[in-house]
Parts: sequence; C-alpha cells; structure tokens
Amino acid sequence: MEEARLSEAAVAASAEAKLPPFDEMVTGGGQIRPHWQPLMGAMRTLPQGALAERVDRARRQYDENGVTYNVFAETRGPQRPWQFDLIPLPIPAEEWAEIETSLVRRARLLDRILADIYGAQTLIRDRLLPPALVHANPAFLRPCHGIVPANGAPHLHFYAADLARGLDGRWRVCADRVNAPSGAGYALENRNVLMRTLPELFQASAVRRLGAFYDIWQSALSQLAPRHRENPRIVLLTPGPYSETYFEHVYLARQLGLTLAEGADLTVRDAKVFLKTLGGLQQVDVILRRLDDDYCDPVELRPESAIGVAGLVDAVRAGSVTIANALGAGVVETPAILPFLPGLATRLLGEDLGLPSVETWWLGQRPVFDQVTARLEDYVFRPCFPGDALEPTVVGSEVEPARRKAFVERLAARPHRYVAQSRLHKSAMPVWTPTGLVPRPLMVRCFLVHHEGNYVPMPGGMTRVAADDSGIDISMQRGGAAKDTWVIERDVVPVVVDTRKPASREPLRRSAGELQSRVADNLYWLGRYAERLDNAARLMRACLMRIPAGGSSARELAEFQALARMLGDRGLVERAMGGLPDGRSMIEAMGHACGRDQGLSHLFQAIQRIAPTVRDRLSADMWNVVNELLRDARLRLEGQPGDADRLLEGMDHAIGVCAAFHGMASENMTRGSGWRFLDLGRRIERALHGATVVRDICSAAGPGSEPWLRMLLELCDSSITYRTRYMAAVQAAPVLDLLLCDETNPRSVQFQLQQIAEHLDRLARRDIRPLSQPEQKIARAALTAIELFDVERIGSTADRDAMSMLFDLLAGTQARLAELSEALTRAYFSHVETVQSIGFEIAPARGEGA
Amino acid sequence: MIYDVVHRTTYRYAEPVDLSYHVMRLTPRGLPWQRVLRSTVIATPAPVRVHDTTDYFGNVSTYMSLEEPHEELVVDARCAVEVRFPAPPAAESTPPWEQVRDALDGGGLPAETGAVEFVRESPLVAIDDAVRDFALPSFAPGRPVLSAFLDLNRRIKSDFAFDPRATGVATAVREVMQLRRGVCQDFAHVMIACARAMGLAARYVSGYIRTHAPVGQTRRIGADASHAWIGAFVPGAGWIDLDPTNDLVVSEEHVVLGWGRDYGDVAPIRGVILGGGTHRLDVSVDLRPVDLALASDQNG
Repeated sequence: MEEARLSEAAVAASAEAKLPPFDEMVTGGGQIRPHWQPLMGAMRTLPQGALAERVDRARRQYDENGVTYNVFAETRGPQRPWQFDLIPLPIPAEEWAEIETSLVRRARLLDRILADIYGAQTLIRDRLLPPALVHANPAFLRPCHGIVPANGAPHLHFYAADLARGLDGRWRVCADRVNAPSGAGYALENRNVLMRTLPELFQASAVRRLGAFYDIWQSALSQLAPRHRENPRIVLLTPGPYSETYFEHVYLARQLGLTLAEGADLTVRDAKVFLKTLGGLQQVDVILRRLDDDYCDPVELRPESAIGVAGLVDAVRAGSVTIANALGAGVVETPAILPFLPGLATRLLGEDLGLPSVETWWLGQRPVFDQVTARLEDYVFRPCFPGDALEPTVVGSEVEPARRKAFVERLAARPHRYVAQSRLHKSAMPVWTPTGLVPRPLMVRCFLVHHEGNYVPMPGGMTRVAADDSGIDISMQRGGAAKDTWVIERDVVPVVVDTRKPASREPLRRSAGELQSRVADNLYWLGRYAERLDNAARLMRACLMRIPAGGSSARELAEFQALARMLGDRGLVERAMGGLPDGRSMIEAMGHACGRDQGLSHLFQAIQRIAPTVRDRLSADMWNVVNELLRDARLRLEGQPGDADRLLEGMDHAIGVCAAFHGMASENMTRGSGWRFLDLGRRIERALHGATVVRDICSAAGPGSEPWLRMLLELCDSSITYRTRYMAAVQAAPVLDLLLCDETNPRSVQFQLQQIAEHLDRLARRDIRPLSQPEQKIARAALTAIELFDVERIGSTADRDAMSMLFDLLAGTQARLAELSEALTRAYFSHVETVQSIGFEIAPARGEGA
Repeated sequence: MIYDVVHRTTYRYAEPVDLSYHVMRLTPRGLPWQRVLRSTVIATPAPVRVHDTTDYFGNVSTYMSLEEPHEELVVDARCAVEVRFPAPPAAESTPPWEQVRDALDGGGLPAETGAVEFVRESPLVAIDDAVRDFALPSFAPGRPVLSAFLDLNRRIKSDFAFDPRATGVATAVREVMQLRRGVCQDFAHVMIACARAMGLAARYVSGYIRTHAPVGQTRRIGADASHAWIGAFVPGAGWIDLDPTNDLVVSEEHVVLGWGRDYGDVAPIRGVILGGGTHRLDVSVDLRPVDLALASDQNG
C-alpha cells in the first residue's frame, strides 16, 4: 500500500511541476476572486502615488515602534528592520471555517500525543508511532517524562501551524510549531500598522478583529495557575535581547500584562519559582515560555545552558508552577511525525485529520527509505530533528547524478534523522514593489490557544511571502516579508463582541512594585555609561578646541597636553599619546578612538549591550533617543580620522543626545525605583567625573591660574553659572566652591551626593529597614566631608596645607563613590550570580581510576 | 555475594556557594539479581529539599537543593546489597547478530523489552567511521550475537590502555578512538558506540566493582571508585552485562546503581551551583564483601 501511494505521488509531482501556481487573487479565467474585489477596489481609489507614501508611513511606524527581527541572533548581529508588505491576504469566512476546524482538531491531537509520549507511551507500544521517532529525537526530554501538567493544564497551551496552498487549491499544514511558537505579536502589530496606514481598506471589507484573541489568551494563562487563580503572577520567559524575536517578547508581555523575565530573573527555592525583585522574592505561578525547553534548566536538561532557571524541572514536577507550553512539547514538532498523524487522529480522536499535512515520508523505515531513494528527483530532503536543523534542505532533482550515491549513503548512515517531502508548489499573491505588483509564494502562520477545554484560533494570522519566487523555504530569517491576514465575513459587518470579562476593580497603585534586580542593575549601568559618554565627549571637545596652531602660547600648549593626559588616563586615547603629542597626531588619535573597538566606541557598545535589556522600562521616545545615540551619533563619529571639525560636530551632537536622554528620564519616567537606579548611576558617574577633573587640573597647574580655572568650569559645564554670579573675576575659591560644595549647582559634586543620598533613603524606606544601611552611611560620609571642607582657605597663593587638604578630600570622595557602587551592588543586585554546572564535566572518580 | 558500600563525594568550593541543586543516582537499583538490603544518601550541610523519584529508565534519582551558603558539600551514600547476576547463556547458542539487528530495526520484537531505546546514538555516544571500522572485525557474518559482544569486550581491553590522565568527562568517543586510551566510562562508551553502529542495543551501566581481588589474582583496575560497564541486549536472555575495562562478564563482583543511554543519563551526581568560584572534587568508594556468616545471620 505504501508503495502504491508513493508512486502516485511521484506521478503527481512530475505533472504538477509544469503547472503555474494557484493564484490567490485571480481565477484561472482571469477574474478577480470575489473576496478580493472590495480590497482591490479600495486600493484603486487611492490617489496616484499614495501607496508608495503609505509604505513609507508604515515603515516609519514599524521603526518607531522598534519592530525588529534579529537575524543572526547568535552572533549578536544586526537588528533587521521588519520586512512587511501592505497588501493583506483575505480569506473568506467559509474557507476559514474549514481551516479552523482542522487546526482545532490538530491541536487536540498533538496535545493527546504529547500526553501519551510523556506518559504511558501506548502509541509506541501499539506501533502507531515508531519508537525511534521519539527515542532518537533530541527534543524528547526524558527528565520530563511522567510530569502531568498541574491543574489539568494541557501540554499544548499555544499552538501555531504554517499553512500553504498547493496547486489543487487545497490548504496543507507544512509545519507544526509547538516548542515556543513565535509570530502572534508580530501578527497583531502588522494589523495595527495596516489599520493606521491604510484605514480605507478596512472600510471596504468586513474583517474579523484580533483583539478578543489576546483577551482570551490572557484569561487562559490565568487559568493555568496552580494556585491563586484570581490574581496569579505570570511571567513571559525570554532568552533575552539577543533572541531573534525579542521585540515580540517585549510586545506580548505588554499586550498580555505579563512580567518579562530572563532566566536570571527567576530562582527556584524549595521547588517553587520566584521572581527576584528589589522588594524580595515573589512567587511565580505561570510561565509563558519563549525559551526553548531544553535550555530551561541546567540541572536536569542542557547542563551548559546559562539562560535557564536551575531547578525549574523539579518545580514543575512538584506542581507549584505551570509552564506553557509544557517542557518537552517540542518532540512533536518534528516533520517525521506527519505521515503518522492520520492514523493517530483515527485512534485518539476517532476523526480524520481534516486539512492534510504536506506529503511527507520518514526515512527511518526501511521500505520507505528504499522507495524514496530510488526516486530522489521527486522529493525534497530535510533533517527532521532539532540538532540537525542547520543541515540544508536538499532538493532531490538538484543532486548531480555523480553525487547521488554519496547522498543516499549519507542518508543511509542515519535514515531516521531525515524526511522526504513532495515539493509543494505554493500559491502566490501580489506583493507591492515600487515598479508594480509582483506575485510571490506565501505561507500563513495560524495561532490557537487552549481555553476552557478547547482550542480557540486567532481569526487571522501572520502571512509571510518569500523574498523571491522559488518558495522552497519562506522565513523571516531568509529575507521574506510579513503581511496581515484577514478573515472576511461574506456580507454583514460583524458585530464586535467584547469578550473581556468585566475586570475586577484594580486598586490604585503608585508604583509597579516589583522591579527585577537584574533590571535595576542594568538601569544603573545605563545611567553610568550614558553619563560617562557625555563626560568623555566633553573632554574630547575641550581638547579639540585647543589643538595647537602656529601661534599657540606655552600655556595653551600646557592645557592641551593636560587634556591629552586626561584622555589617556581615562583610556579614551592610547595612553602613549599622553606624553607630548602634537595636534595632528592627537586629532588622529581621537578619530581612532571613535572608530570600532576603541575608547569611545567601548562606551557605545556598553550602552548597546545594556539598553535592550531594559527596553520594556523605557518609553518609546526614550528608546528612540537611545537608538539615535547608538546609530546616528556613532555614525557621525566613526571614520573621521584627521578631521577636527567633523569630530567637533560629532562631539557636540553626542553631548546633545546625552542631554536629551537625561532630560527625558527626568521628565517622562515615573519616580519609581527604576528611575532611581538610572539616576543613581548618572549621579555617581557625574560626581566621580567632577572630583577627578578637579583633581587632575589642580595637580597639573595648581589652583591659582585663571585660564586653568576657566577650563575647569568648561569641563564641568558651569561657566555660565559662574559668570552670572561672579562677573569676570575667576578665582580659585569661588570656582572650587561652585564645582564641589555648592548644592544649588546641578553640576557640583555636592549636588550629586545629595541626590544620591535621597535616592538611597527612598529605596531603603521601601524595604522598611530601620537602620541606616551601608550604602546610606557611605553617602552621608561623602556629603559631610565636603560640607566640612573650608574652601575659603584655597587662595591664589599656594597654601601647601590647604592644597593637601583639597587633594585628600578629592581622593576620599573618589574612594567613597567607588565603595558606594559596591555597596549598592551588594544591597540590590547581588541576586544576580553566575551559574555553573558541576558533575557533568567531572567523571566519576576521575583520577582514581574507574 | 553481599557487599557494604560507602561512597563519599566531597566538593570544596573556593568561595561560598549560595544556592545549589543536585541530582544524584546513588541508590542501587533493585533487580531480580540484586537485592538492596539498605541504602541511605546523606548530605552535609542538610539540604532544604530532598526528593526521591524514579527516573525515565527506572533508576532511583535523588533531587536535593541547598539554600544556605556553604563552602563544602559532602554526600555520603551507603548501601548493602546482595548480588548474583544470572549466568549468561552459551554464546554459541545465541542468534546471529544480523537477526537481532533486523528484529530491533523492523519490529517483530515486542517493544516491551525497551531495547529499541538503546539502538540509536545518544548525546555522548556518536557513531562515525572509526567506530564502525573498529567494530566490524567482531561481527563476522552469522556470528552469534553474544560471541560477537564477547569478542568486542576482549578487543577493547587489549587495544585500549587504561589512563586516567588521557581523558575527561567531556571526551568524545571520537577522541577516545584516536587516543586508544581512557577510563571505564570511555571504554563503556566505545563499546556502546560499536554495538549501536552494528544496529544492536547496548546500555550504559553505572555502579561499583569489588575492591579486593580473590586470592591469587592481581588487583583489578577500577577498584575503590565508581565504575561503569555496559549491558548488551541478547534476545532470549535479556541484558548481559559486560565490563570492557576488565574483559569480564559481570557475575557477582559488580554492584549496579542504574543505567541509561550513556553517562549523561546516570551521572552519580550532577548539579548546578550559584557562586562558588573554582571547586575541588574528592570521591572515595569503599566496597567490602560482608562476612558470609554475618550475612546469613542478617538474612535469617
């Protein structure tokens, strides 16, 4: 029987290859299909050139919302702007009904199969599933065998299926997405952007809304909680900002009202999962998992995983937390299972499968292997287990005759790791290009969520079109574009039913309450690095403005050299430049410092590394500023060796952007602990800068010389303040008073210390810790030292005692600030610790000889 | 034979460990040929949570977590077991190896034996040409399967040198094949790889071997430590345990802790620590035959 089916498919495949693909929009007779007509009608009414303008508008929207897809996530590569196309894919309601019914059935089936694989394994015993398909599949997680999801939750909470339509016009499931399906956030964002940029289209057709699906999803997640279902704590577990779809994790967490958590934000104590927050450990009830399951727990799963949560499997086993989808769910994602689904559907559901899968043969069975490899040219060959996913798909007809034998031998060495699929000639739909519409093959990803005992489909999905018309693989990774997907009612405009339950009344809150320790840590360092960048740019600017020309005086040269040394001390130019550089080489050194992997660019890199991790704490505008800082300011500075003017412009720009960032932080961020940590970082850095600059200049020139004092005012951005107070005379005592002691000058060291002390008091109060904490004591000591300092003693004549007191004060302040940073780390960030696996890298009794 | 076993594992950390999680497979498995008279696993400092489960392969797996800062962890596993492996069938009476291979591949064999689980590659057992080439000479066409396994057992013992310094726990089979040296774990992995390369089922067995050799024989390698060997699947007889480190058919001088596809499934202790810096590991095993008179008293 197997044989007959195979040859039939082969005949069909070779016949099909000559036909044109199914056209979504136009019938064979050249008529526009009815469900496309309102859409195309609306498009035609757009004025000339309007569509190009709308495409631009949509592009800006995606950019502003920060929609990205990280292409080479593992190499921390570029965030690629979201590729989209504005023409949606309409699907008539009747056709959609069949898709829905099939996918609901398929989701139920996959859930039942998972329950069996991780339970009694009767399907393997009864030969409905070949054993190797499970046993040899690395996605089968043995430590998770025997775990029954808490509270009657399904193994499969959220399911996605990739659909494509063949030549016969019939939809087929190309792939099941079960491990941690992505795309549901992008689908919503595609809809939102399209509604904003082409609202006309929605007036012409009755398009089903997506919003209700997310409300259902939210309620479904709450119901997964093993305890206090009324108000469970639910987190979205993300691999972090280097994940391909990190944008979506942030977006969905917001949309569904979840806390975004990385593995390091969670900890397991006594088989319960907790979120590490500034306010202490908060128990987590449900985890929506976007981290691949095998990376979730280094104790029982992959020992090398640094992004998981140690002890998570034990917590799940103990039933204190529900993970969706269940750990191990990825095992049914393999295409090897596709040929067995019809039989499994009959056995487990007593129904047929509905929409078929793309025709697939698993090579792990000898007769199938022999028949498929006898007709290589009819099939596409793919590895079917996750560890082999990097192996390329091979189109049988493209294997050169001379290499066929070697190819079949390669398959034969591990036949169970491959499937053969008949080539699906996917249907095509129009894609807008500046030169007109072109047809492209497409695939639709549909989403279903388990709710109250059944699966509820999203009425729509994410359609992706291929970058070219080959259509073998369509993926965002390979440069495809995404489209909105419409389910169209035939006549009536559907009444939008708000399925949201009337929310229980929210108590008023003044703070978000649970800032993760890791986020606080990152905000603190973001504040520090942004300020450090500002200070660095100011120093470099001062130096650039003093580049010696022909007529420079000895004093000007000395100033220039002092600045060069300060830049060297801070690692902003090569230290060797600190000697007696000339202007030319200094410009080059600074230009070099702005280049890749140099002094200033290290600061940019640090900001780039941290900013995405706190992205969900920054407003969209602040995020744009960070982006601007990273993209534009950096571009302006890079590759300018030797051009002092361009460098100066670049520095001015960077200083401006830093100011905008700090301005937005103080104007737009609520005064919660997140803001306090960002500001603490900035204040500590600024106080350090102040103390260090005063110390550097005073030791270079003594405090008496007026030009040096002017430079000091310039570096601390206090020239104007000084001038308004003291008119022309620049003297040591007033300058030092203004820069060190004056608590009304927002650039003074004392001002920073006061702010720091206030932040620390407020943070400590929320912890209800009655006694002064170490970090508070250090801040008080630093404040008092400056308060007690007698600045009047610093005159224009060198008073040795006064000078040594000044240097003691500055050195003491620097030391206290460093201490303060460490105390803060111990008090608030110490939850963040390195994780190491042991026992796996150490043999039993290694060295003793077993 | 009855044995008393004391297996002590000590971790010393350079810095305090704040939190740690461990999975231990240190409780001997009850088997028709192995009676567990008593077994305890005690950790110091005392864990917050200790929890025994039966793992996927039927081994006893002890999970524990420590939540107080500690600089040293001592795990004391003590047990008393009585072992007597059944005598293997006459090698020549076992079916030709190809027949076993085809049965495992194509069905016809009751899946209940669970043998199919142990036919494919596993995370620490990869098969390549070197493995296949090494295995082939033992598998002449039509050779009875146990005879082939015994030959392989002997050849590994004679072709590979015992050298604790040559390999680490992460050493791949491929590398062991090149080095031709290693320890019990490596030899077990090599033999398993060879068996699976031929389409046969082999599993990794973790346990202990008797400390003192009988009078008149030299002391065996692998004494005073945890040990590893393989189970070879022979239809009709079930699993025959073979020890390629010592070229032995396991009879009554081995104590079984548990088995899996490879070391990764049955590591005696694996875990994750938070903090700790570098660490030192000491393992000592004392396996002592119990005085027979005393033993018979105990058995009443």
